[in-house]
Amino acid sequence: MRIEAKDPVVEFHDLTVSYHKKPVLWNIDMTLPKGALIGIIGPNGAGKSTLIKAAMGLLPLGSGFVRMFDQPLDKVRDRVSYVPQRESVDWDFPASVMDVVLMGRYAKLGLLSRPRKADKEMALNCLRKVGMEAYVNRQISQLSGGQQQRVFLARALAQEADLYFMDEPFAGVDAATEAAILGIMQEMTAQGKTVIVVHHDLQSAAEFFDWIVLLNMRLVASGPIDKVFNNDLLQETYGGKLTVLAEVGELVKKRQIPSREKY
Amino acid sequence: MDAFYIITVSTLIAISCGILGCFLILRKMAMVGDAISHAVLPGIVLAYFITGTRDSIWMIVGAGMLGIFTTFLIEFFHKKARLQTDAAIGVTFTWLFALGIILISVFAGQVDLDQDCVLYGEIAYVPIDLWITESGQNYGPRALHVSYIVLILIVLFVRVGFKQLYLTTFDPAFAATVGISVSLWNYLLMGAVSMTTVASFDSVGAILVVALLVAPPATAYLLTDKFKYMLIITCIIAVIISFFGYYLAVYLDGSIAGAIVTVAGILFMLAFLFSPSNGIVFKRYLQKKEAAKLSQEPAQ
Amino acid sequence: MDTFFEFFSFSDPSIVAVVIGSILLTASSAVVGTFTFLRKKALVGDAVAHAVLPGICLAFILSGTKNPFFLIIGAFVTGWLSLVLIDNITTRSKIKEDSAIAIILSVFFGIGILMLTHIQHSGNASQTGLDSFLFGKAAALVGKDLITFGIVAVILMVTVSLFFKELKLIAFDMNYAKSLGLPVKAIDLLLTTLTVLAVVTGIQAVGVILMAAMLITPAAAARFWTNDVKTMTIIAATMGAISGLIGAYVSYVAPAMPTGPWIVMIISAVALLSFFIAPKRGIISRAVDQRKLQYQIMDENLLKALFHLGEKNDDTYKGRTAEEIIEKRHFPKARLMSSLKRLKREGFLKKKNGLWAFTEAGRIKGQRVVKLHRLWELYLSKYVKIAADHVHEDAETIEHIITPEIEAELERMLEYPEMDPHEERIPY
Repeated sequence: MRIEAKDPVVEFHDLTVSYHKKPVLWNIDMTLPKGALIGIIGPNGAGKSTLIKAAMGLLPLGSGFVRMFDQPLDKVRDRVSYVPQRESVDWDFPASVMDVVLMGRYAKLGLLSRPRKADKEMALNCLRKVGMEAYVNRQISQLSGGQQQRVFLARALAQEADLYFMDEPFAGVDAATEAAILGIMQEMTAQGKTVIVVHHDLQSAAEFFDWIVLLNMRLVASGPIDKVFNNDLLQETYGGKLTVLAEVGELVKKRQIPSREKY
Repeated sequence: MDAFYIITVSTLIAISCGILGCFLILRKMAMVGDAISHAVLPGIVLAYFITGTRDSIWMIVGAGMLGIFTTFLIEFFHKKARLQTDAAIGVTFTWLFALGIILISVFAGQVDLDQDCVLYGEIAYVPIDLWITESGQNYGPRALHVSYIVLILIVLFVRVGFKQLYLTTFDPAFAATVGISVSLWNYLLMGAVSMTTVASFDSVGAILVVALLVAPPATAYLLTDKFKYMLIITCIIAVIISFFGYYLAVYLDGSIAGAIVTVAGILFMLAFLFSPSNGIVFKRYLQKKEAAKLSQEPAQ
Repeated sequence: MDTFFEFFSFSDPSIVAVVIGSILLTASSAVVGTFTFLRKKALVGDAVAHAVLPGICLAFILSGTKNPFFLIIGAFVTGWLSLVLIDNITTRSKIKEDSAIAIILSVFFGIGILMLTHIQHSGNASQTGLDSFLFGKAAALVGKDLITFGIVAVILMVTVSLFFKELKLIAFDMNYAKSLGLPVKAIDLLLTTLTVLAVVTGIQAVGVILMAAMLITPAAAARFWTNDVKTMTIIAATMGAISGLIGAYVSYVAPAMPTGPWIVMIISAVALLSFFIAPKRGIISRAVDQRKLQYQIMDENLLKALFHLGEKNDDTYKGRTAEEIIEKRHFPKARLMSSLKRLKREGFLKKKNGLWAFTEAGRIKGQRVVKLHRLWELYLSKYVKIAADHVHEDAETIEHIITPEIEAELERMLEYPEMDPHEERIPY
């Protein structure tokens, strides 16, 4: 079940992604709509994070391409923001909350220039939005998991992008943070921004998102929630693995197949 | 005056190393720093042999290239030969260092270098080795000039690239998504480490440079969780270890570089045990207090 | 050349002693190194090696002699202490393992240098030779020293063979070993102790600074030749022994030369060679495999194109010109010609009057590729839910690697289908 978006912001065209030469995503082909809160759902190891990493150019593409705003990523980097998984960084790092949020402004600054007062005010504003203004000068090592996630969100807000990719922003956060983050996302989409979220909890997915992408090594479904969030498709996503696909994936790795043959 | 020159030179070197070290330890690349400091040796020996002098800019540049080559080689062994990272580091630096030592033995007659110098430098000779121009003008110890020039270069580098270095250290994936080249800045940093290692080589030797790269920043890291303070504390530690290290060496009649490193080690242990925020003694005290509080509260 | 025969005839008993000593020392450290390598603790060995220096100096200061027994004890104590400290620093503070190793390594070494220079300057006559621990001197291995270090080396190798199974298991998978109820802590402790002992003995030949190479490099090289831990241990030991032998020779020919760097150069050369030429895992062998795969892909694509040409008018065995083939599917001319010749040599094609035609074997092979291509397309569209107009690209690759087992599985799952998603007949 693949429903094309009417007003597409992101287009995945025949995307195949390998990890250490082993294909983990096969032929992902879909378009995602502007101004929607989009959830990428699937079991563990389905390639959810891989998909957005590949979209952000962090992993080499086996084949196919991704376009955003009808452009390649490099042309529109300043309109796209990426929020990595919270665990991907070392929170013992000597930085304050303000330092981290200011990183969101780095791309907008030149090589030599330092963040100016306006940047700091802007960062403070973002912190206010996520309810963290009281923690501006707190060191990040002293934050709880939920607070860390809010800081990451504030950093993304400081980028002033139009398209956001977020890797598991709801993982391991408290209920208050969950509500706060969801509120901000809804506000963002109301302003016409697009938010794409990797999510693992089916229960909440039904409440959170307007558009759902069901993923398990391949695209099972992509479409408005009322069309694709049903038992049959979920069964297909979470039910039995495609053993042949996995076996062939292993073979591709073993034989070190070049991403695409030439002749 | 001799003591002053020696302490000043070692302080300047320790500050240069410490600034770079702050980034190295946060990138979890301390052992790559170790590898580079060993691996530049053949470059140094060859540069000595070819140019015949020790104060050649080409030596710093040449050996600096070798440092970058080392980083590349480690990556090559890891990616192309699929060797695990720790082994890739180990194989690379021991091989290059062995080559350097053999070159020293082979050129023993022609090169004013010996194995001891490789190990712990000759900082005691700093006041004797003067920079005298052809017209006879005496500008003071040569090493002094080298070390402050290196420090200036390092400070400039870190100042100019601060945002990029800081961001690629903290969150490389995010840095890549905003268009900062993670590998470029990695190689630049490694180039700076190599250059500093080579410039410090005369004074502290190849191996003890590692201590200056890692110990003061790690000590500072235990004392603060602000990056700016980490840099400042590293600089203060550089002064302390140079001063006390010198007098410890005089007292024991031993190697100055060895003594400086010994003091750096003592400071690290003190911070590890007694740091107000991170020391294990203080942490234990807090835990005890917590436990006492819990036991006082009535059971529910 | 004379010295070469003199040395390798082993007629001089002192040469025999040095040779046996060097071989034992380097081989035993290579054996222990295999397990630290597999445990991904290679650099810890580097730290231990540097950390034994202050122990040796301290033992000398306290005992006033160069008795190897005291020196071993001293080295053992500080070597052990370094590991305990690294472990404590990593678990009890925010300092990460790499920094902890680097700090302990350099600081212990600095303390050792301070002590060593102190001893040297104090003018103690019996200290001469203490600095041969820095870069190693195999030739210095004589008499009692040789017996002491030799015994330790033998103990090391015997212990490893006694506990081989356990060491292998914790090196492979710590958690699994724990779940089997093995005393994981005790075995890890044993490995640590062995590492320290290996360093303490090995430094006689290689020296503290390059000792890490004796632990890491033979194991890294051996890894390329085998997947079996036992074979790997034996290969590593042999490589270590060879480098030890040559080291002893260098020490004999040029007594002023430190042996350590030579031993390390030799073992590194062996390792570098292994990285490139080892079968299967080696860089060259992998490149050759890639090349073969490219040939295979090219040949199969060519057979496929030929089969396609015959499908239209059902004249599979008809001879065709190279131009006809290129028209069907574009191949660079040179590649096409060499592929055609290769296939002829292998009996898949024959050439008559300048026309290329299938042999029976060639037709079967070409047909199989076409079949696999269409089966895979069908699988992708039916099971992976990929639109019919997007399956071709992927099948172009996968058709070359499907094994007969997967082929059978696909046929079964798809119930021996007749048509692919593009309504083209699947040939059986």
